[in-house]
Amino acid sequence: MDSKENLTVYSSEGPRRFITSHLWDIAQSLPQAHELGFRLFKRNLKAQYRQSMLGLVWAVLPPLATAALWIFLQGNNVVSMRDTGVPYPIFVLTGTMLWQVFSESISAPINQVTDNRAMLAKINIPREGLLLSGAYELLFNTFIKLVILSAVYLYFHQQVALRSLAIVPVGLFAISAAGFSIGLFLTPLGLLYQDVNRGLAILLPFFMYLTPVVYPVPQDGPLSQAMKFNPLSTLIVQTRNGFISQPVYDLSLFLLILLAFTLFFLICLAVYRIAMPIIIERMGS
Amino acid sequence: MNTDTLVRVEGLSKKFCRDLKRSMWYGIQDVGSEVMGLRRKPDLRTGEFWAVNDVNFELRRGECLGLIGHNGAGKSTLLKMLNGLIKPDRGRITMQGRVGALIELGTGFNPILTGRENIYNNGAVLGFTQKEINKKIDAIVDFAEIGDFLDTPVQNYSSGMKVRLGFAVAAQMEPDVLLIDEVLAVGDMGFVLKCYNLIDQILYNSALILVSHNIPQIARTATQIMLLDRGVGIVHTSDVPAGISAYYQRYEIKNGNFQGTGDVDLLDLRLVHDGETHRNGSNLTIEYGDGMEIEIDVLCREKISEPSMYLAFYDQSQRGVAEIMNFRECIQVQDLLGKASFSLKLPSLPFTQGKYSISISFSDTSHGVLFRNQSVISFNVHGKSHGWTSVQFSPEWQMKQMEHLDE
Repeated sequence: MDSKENLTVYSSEGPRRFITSHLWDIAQSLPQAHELGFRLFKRNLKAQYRQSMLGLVWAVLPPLATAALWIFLQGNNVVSMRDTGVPYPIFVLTGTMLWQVFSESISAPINQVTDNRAMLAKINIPREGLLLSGAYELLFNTFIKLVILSAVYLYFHQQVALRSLAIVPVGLFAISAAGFSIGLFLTPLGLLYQDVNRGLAILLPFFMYLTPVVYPVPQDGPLSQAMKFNPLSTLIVQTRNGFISQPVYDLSLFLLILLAFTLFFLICLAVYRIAMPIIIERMGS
Repeated sequence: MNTDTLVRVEGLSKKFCRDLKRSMWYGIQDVGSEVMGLRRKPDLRTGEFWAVNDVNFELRRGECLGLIGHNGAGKSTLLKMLNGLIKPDRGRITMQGRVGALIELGTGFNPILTGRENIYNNGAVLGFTQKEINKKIDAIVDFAEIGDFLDTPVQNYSSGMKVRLGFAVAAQMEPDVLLIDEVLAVGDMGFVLKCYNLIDQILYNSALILVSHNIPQIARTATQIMLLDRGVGIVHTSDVPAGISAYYQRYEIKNGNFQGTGDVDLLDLRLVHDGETHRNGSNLTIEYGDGMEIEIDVLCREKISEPSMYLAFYDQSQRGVAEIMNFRECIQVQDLLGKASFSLKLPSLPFTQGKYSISISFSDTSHGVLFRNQSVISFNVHGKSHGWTSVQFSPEWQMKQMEHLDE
């Protein structure tokens, strides 16, 4: 073995490595990961819609259903809410769509990895490709949601101010980054223990009602205090304010949360890379 | 030809845990310590064992290592480490060049999508870019020979067709190191031969590691043999027939499957070779072309008016190899009662290297089969060469003539 070029080494020993060096590896394998991730995304999309009659509608059906329920409850005065500043359907639909983005981002990594278990166990693929495939799917579904949302806004003649709309892309990114990093954090654990997936299915709707998704932020009371400690509350409320042209407050807190989740995401990414070989030897195929 | 070393494996070990719950908990601990940058202790924890234990070998371009051993001997684990799927707990693997693996074919196929679409999916999983597949798609389609099915959803394919398509994509890899794990089990004969030919071509320019229970396949391709037993490479040799012979000797054929009416019992069956008598379990090994004598004792509780006895040789995979003509055609025996002994002499057995077992059945023209006993005894044949088929003749070859052609 004369040349050092193109050398593959797998060893139990090695220099102590820090998270940054793992992240550097990930950055270098990004082109291959993209190639695989994009292909898998296209594959899943094609297969999904070829085997379904409603097709794209599924991407927006859950938030539409939740919104419809709350519009019904509110319209019949079963629940009473403080004035939201915009027609309630606009308010609640924007909220549930944003929440859906969050909950889809949480489950994206773990779903992608579980669906491709066999591949992970048998073939040496750039494992970040699975995450990218999930991210592309997320992006695509979010785009459909935005299209539907615009249609609803047009129907209600809801004005959007370009200035406040500027926060929307940042907000969508922050919400997905929050969900994706939490999901990524849970992925290695969730591959070993099924409890993670089951727990998520119960906890997510619960958290939705703890977050001002279908109702505006209460002005006082214990719930309003609790929301101060719910980072998602800030992300969703501010992003929705951007949509419905209401003033965005606490911008610095918003950016701080975004930064925190971005850092958390990078750490989880490195943990994923470190953990996967150890998980794979335990999950079989 | 280039003969540089492509694979070097030094002191490679991997531990596993048999208990699922404990294994998952160890997994969490290992992830934790790895993330913190702590060194994992290579010692065994409670419930763990070495699935691969201190394996060493080196391979150069053009060489092929045949990995053989019983189920659970650690062959696949070793291959997974070489493929980078799991990390060694001890030791080191160094490989030069592109590493390809034929471990599972057709990964990434989606059953709903057509064969053509799935070529791209499978290709992406194997690390090809879309451009590369675009260039290779004609070669892939040619090799797979699935014809009109190319634009049919893969769920309508037979399992053999899926393997064809999967192999055709994988065949486009141009690896320096190729790992193969029993992928050619499915597929019809023509396709299997085509695959072997391709592997021969690849081998010419790469190093191959081949895991298989198909011994003729190993014998055909391997230049080295490693016999794994409970994770340890107990035999490692470039004398391929010797390695294969060691594998056969470790297989104990159990005296299995006895059927009978109870009227006649097989008391004993012995093999006499070189003046020594061998009973079942004595691990007799003869050289290619050696002869032997078979002695049979039976006990007849009822009078058998027209007995007939029939023996046959089976190979490792229970294929019939040769049979011994019914003794009724050779000698006259009538009204058999009580204990009787028979013997027959075989001057020379032209069997190729391997393990063979003998089955015997005893019947009566009027009563039908009285007993049938599969694999009563087994023996090994050791030879200098290993053939594809079980019987190898060594005739007197002669060259009749030779003429120089004038150009």
